[in-house]
Amino acid sequence: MSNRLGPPRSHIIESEIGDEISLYDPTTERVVILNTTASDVWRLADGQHTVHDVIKMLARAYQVEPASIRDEVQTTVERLMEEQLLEGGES
Amino acid sequence: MRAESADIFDRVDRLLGVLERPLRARPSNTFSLATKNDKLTLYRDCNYLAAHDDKEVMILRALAELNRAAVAATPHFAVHAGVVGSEDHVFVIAADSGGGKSTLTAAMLQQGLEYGSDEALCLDDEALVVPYPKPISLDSWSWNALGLTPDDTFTEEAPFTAGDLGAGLLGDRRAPTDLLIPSFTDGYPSLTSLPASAVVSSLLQLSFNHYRDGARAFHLSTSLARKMRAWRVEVGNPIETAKHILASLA
Repeated sequence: MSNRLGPPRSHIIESEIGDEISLYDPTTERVVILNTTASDVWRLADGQHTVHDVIKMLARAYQVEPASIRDEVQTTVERLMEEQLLEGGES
Repeated sequence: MRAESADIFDRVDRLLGVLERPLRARPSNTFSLATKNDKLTLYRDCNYLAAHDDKEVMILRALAELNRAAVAATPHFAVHAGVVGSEDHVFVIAADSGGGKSTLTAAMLQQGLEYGSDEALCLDDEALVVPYPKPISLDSWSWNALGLTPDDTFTEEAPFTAGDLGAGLLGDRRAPTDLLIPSFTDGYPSLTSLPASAVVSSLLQLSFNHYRDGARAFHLSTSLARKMRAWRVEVGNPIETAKHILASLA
């Protein structure tokens, strides 16, 4: 079973506002607003990267240690999975 | 709206006159105020709603019921918010009931802004404001804080028109520019910038009718979030707060 993250479910409507992304699921009528970091996680949840990959890539982009953003990334992933915004995927 | 008494009709007509439109079809609702068993009684389409021997109470009740029906019937995306505008800005004051919308709306009108609504931001499909200048309902604390004097006969709550506050009406098809989210303080008024996402969350959380077309509501909210600025407003004295907002933003 793949442990890659995503991709997003095809029916999710996405809107970028500055650095942040808002997501709308018409089947549940729920809106999820992602902060800047969560938005970056979402952009990388394309079915090509694992959670570990995402942490490494964001740490490099933010120029921080991976350990400093690991919890935030994992919390974001858990939230995206809880809201059923991503196809399959396991962290 | 119908009233048996000419005096009551005239008072209601003064308050609602700016909302009057030519009747092109059968009205969807008819509200009537008539005397029954010595009480002023309110009906909606011949269905009993309420009765009271105090006519001011019943006028306020009639206005509230009319407002409820109007908001329920609007085809536009509607958000629980006040709306006021200057030449270059349209301010949306977003809060639940009791959150200070009407008081801050009235205070800003006193500073020379034009009146859109104290109840509902209505947006057409281009995310432009459809004004809803209903009478502004203020409690005694608010009208005293604003230095206003209601009609003698109102004691705890009173309706005011934009004209009573010396204000004109907001024109059609204006784009909202600033979202104000009020909270109360005992101190000085202040403004804090919020992220654009606050526009999305506020508009959707305070919407009256997003459920009718969730995708459209989401589209309008995110569209506005790209164009509007969002602020948390610490509201102290409403007049000073209104002055502070205009000095800072307009």
